[in-house]
Order: sequence, then structure tokens, then C-alpha cells
Amino acid sequence: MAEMIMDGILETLYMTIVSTILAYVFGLPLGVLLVVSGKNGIKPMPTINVIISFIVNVFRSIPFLILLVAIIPFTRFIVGTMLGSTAAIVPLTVAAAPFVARLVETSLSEVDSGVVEAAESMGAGTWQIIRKVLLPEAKPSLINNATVATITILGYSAMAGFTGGGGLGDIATRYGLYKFDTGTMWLVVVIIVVIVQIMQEIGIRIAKVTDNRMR
Amino acid sequence: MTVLKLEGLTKTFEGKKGNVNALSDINIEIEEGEIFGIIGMSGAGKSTLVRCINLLEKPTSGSVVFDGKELTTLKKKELAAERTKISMIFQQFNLLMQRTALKNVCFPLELQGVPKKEAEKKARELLALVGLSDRESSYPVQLSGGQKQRVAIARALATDPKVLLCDEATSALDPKTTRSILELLKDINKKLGLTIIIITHEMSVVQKICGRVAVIDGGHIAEVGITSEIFSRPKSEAARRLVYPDGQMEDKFEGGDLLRLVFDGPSAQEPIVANMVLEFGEAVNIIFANMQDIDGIPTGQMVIRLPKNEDRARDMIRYLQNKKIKIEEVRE
Ligand SMILES: Nc1ncnc2c1ncn2[C@@H]1O[C@H](COP(=O)(O)OP(=O)(O)O)[C@@H](O)[C@H]1O
Ligand SMILES: [Mg+2]
Repeated sequence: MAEMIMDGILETLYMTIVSTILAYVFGLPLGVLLVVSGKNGIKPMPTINVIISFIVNVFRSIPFLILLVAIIPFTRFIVGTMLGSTAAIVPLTVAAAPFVARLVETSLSEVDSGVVEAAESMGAGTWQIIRKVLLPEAKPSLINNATVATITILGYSAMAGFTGGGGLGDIATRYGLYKFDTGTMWLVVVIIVVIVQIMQEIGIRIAKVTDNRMR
Repeated sequence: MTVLKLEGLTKTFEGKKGNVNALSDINIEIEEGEIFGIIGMSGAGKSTLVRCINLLEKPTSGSVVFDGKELTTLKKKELAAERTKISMIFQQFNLLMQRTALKNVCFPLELQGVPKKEAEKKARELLALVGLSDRESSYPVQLSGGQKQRVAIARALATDPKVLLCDEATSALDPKTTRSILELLKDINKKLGLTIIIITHEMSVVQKICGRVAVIDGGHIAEVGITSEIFSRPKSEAARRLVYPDGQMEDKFEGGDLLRLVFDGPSAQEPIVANMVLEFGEAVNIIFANMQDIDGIPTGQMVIRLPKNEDRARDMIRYLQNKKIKIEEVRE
């Protein structure tokens, strides 16, 4: 029993962390592109902006459970199977990347446009502004939002149990829903709550110590 | 030598509610090494003008010739290179909040790929120049407004620019800090021979530091000239409004005509009005007075109301003329 729960914790962390990283691998550049190509961006590209924005919205509108099932062929193609935690990473990433793109967009748009203009007046190019102004200046906000993303993905990962994804969500569903063992179910729920709390706390701390405006 | 020449510059913003002609037919020539003022009320088009100079805003028509090069037709790369020679400071300082003072000054050098060691050495020299050697590891939040603007000035100087554009650079600062920043700019102008363009809505800023000034109003240049001349004899309505800010000409006392006295040169050192009052044994009302030190010469103006008695008033005018004071009757 304890071993099962321990495995569940590890599986959940594995799915959450790997999916979050992959969601940022795809979502971060998309978010940057959304800001840069926007109407008031440093390199307005209306067509690209509209297209990306539309795709992001489409993926964000699909309920996760439906997405999970709908992309099973794609998951199989990538991982070779639709079962297990590794397979769950595919739908988690597909669902989270557009969400991450919006979070990144929000963080970057909070950067003072005056500072961007100052960099432009010094002859900074688009790439330099992204790397040396937008990302570093938005860092605390990016970190805070990464915490939000991680916790949201953790929540999604519970649903991945539905297609045999494993993890704590899977255990809670099996014991609570199918075996009426509410004791185990609540134990697992409490563990999830604790993990979320710890992640939130870590995220807030990191954002704070890296924010040079808080000195 | 002319370092910057604006010719027939216009800027029209196209909006949903119609177009805004922010600038129309701007012609200005700025000489190397001068401190040139551009003054106008809020919304006159000052920021648009300054942004057209380094092409942060693309002019609708006209030309910007900087250092012999036409900027409006340059490619992106070439423009970026020219921009490093036209630095800019801002009302809101626009420092990078996540970088220390030193790293802020390094920033433009980093953009140019200057090695870190070299960049930091230069940044330290510049922080010393602006009097902030001891604050190099402070972050902007830890600095006062005046200190932030000093960091911004050091940053602007890092690329050895030919021209420094200052858009309302002192408008967020208190009078004392404003004075110290203006002193610093004057100092830099002398030391480095840097051409400085001061954009402001405050006459006092122009008076303290600018040799020449352009008055901008509704997107037009209303007049251009030597500061002390525009100040003593504003020709345009716009200039007059700036010289006599609202309300300061109001006069609740009964009396004769209003007379404007302009002091420049040695006469300002003698208490002429006081002596005149003593000599005639009759008081005059001082409606408005503003004395400044322009390029070491005490300069200023005063508006007085003459006595009702016309003979007495005429005698006073003659007295002042004898003292070589420029006088002008003020229409009410
Ligand atoms: N990006 C813009 N789009 C539309 N109108 C603008 C824009 N920037 C400035 N304007 C208009 O141009 C005029 C001049 O503005 P500005 O140059 O900022 O004046 P100032 O700096 O003298 O206060 C104003 O009427 C302003 O509303
Ligand atoms: Mg302005």
C-alpha cells in the first residue's frame, strides 16, 4: 500500500515535471512570438499573430479529457503506446503548451514599454530585446506563472489516469470511485494538496529572491 | 558644423477617429556642441519630434540628416549603428529594473558585443563621471529619481554618442534635483563637446541650460532663436504663453499701464526698480518677476504697473530708458 502510494507520488512528479518542461519548450517560444508579433510588439506581424493566437485558443478550448482521447493515435505514434506515465506526457504537453504560451505572453507584456523603447533607441535588434530585455525583466513574473503552470499540469495529470496514465490521480480514482475505499482516496487527495502547497511555496520563494525590484 | 538637420519633417498618425497631424513641416538645424532646447506645451508634438530624430517613429515625410547621413532611407542594420551615436534619456528613466547600476551602463556596450571586462571598466568611468561610483551595485529601486537619471545619463554616454536627446528628462524630478541634473548635462556638454537636445515644457529648464531654443506649438515650429532673445522678446503667441505661464499676469491692483522690463547684462546688478521708486517717491506694483542666470549673465524680466498719473509714468519710462533697460508696453 505504502509502496503503491510512493510509486504514485513519483509517477505524478515525473509526469508533471517532464510535461511542464516540454510545455515550456513549445510554449515559451510561442508566447514570445505572440508578444513580439503583436500590434504593439517590437516586430508586428499581424498575420502570424492572428494564426498563432487562433491555434492557441483552439487547443485551450478543448476539454482535457476529450483531448486526451482524441490524440491517442498521435500519442501512440510518438511513444509507441497509449498506456503509462510516459504516454500521458504527450497529451499533457499538448494541452499545457498553449496555456503556457498565454502565461508567457502575459508576463512579457507586463515589461515596461519605455524600457523596450530605450533598448531600441540604443540600436538593439529584435533578438537582443527578447533575450536581454523582455525575458530578464519579466523573470519574476515568468517564475510565478511557471508555478501556476506546474500546478495546473499536476491537476491535469490526475485525469491522465483515465487512460492508464498512473500517478496519484489514478490511485484516487481507482480506490475512491471503483472500490469505494474513501480512506485511501482521501489520503491520496491530501498528499496531492501537500505537493501543490510545496510547489506554490517554492515558486513564490524563487520569484521573490530573483526579483531585484524587491530589495 | 551642423550635426543634425531636420527638413520638411511631418508626422501624421492615422487613427480610427481620423488622422492626427502631430508634426508639420519641421525645419531645424542643430550645430555640433550646442545645447538646443525644444519647448512646447503638452501635446505640442515634442516627443514625436524627438522620436522621429532617431527614427523610433518613422516620419511621414521629410528628412533627418544626422552627421551627413540621411537616416530615413537607411536599412535596419545601418540604422541600428547610427542609433548608437544618438543617445536618449527619458522622463521615466527607463532603466532595466533587474540589473544593477553598473550592468545598466554596460547594457548598450553588451549590445555591441564589447567584452565584459572592457564594458565594466568603461561603465565604472561613466558612473564616476555622473558621481555615482559608490552605487554601482545598487538596483534601480534602491536609487532616488535623480540618481536613476544619472545612471541613465551614464548609460546614454556609454556608446560615445554625438548627440544626446533628453525627452522631459527632469520633469519627474524636484526643482533641486532638476538643477543638479541640468548642471551635470552642462558639464558633460563642456567636457565632452556633446551636442544636447533638451525637450521640455518648462521655460526655466530652457533658460538654465539652452543656448538656442525652438518653440513648438500644435506640431509647428513657432519660432527658433537664441534663448535670451526669445525669452526677452517672444514673437509668437506660443512663446509668449510659455514666457508668461497662466495666471502669472493677473493683476488685481488699480493703476496705469503695464510695462515689461528686460534685464540682460550689467544693468541687472543694480537695483534699478528700487532706486526708481526711491527717486520718485512713488510705488510701482511688480506684477511678475523672473530673474535667471543665463550663461553667466544675470538675465530676466519684470512686469510692473506704472502709476495712474501719466506725467509720472512718462518720467519713469524715461528714467528706465536712461538706464538702458529694454522696455516694452504690455497690451492687456
Ligand atoms: N502613437 C500615436 N498614435 C496616435 N497619436 C499620437 C501618437 N503619439 C502621439 N500622438 C499624438 O500626437 C500629438 C503630439 O504628441 P506628443 O509628441 O507626445 O506631444 P508632447 O510630447 O509634446 O506632449 C498628440 O496629439 C498625441 O495625441
Ligand atoms: Mg512628451
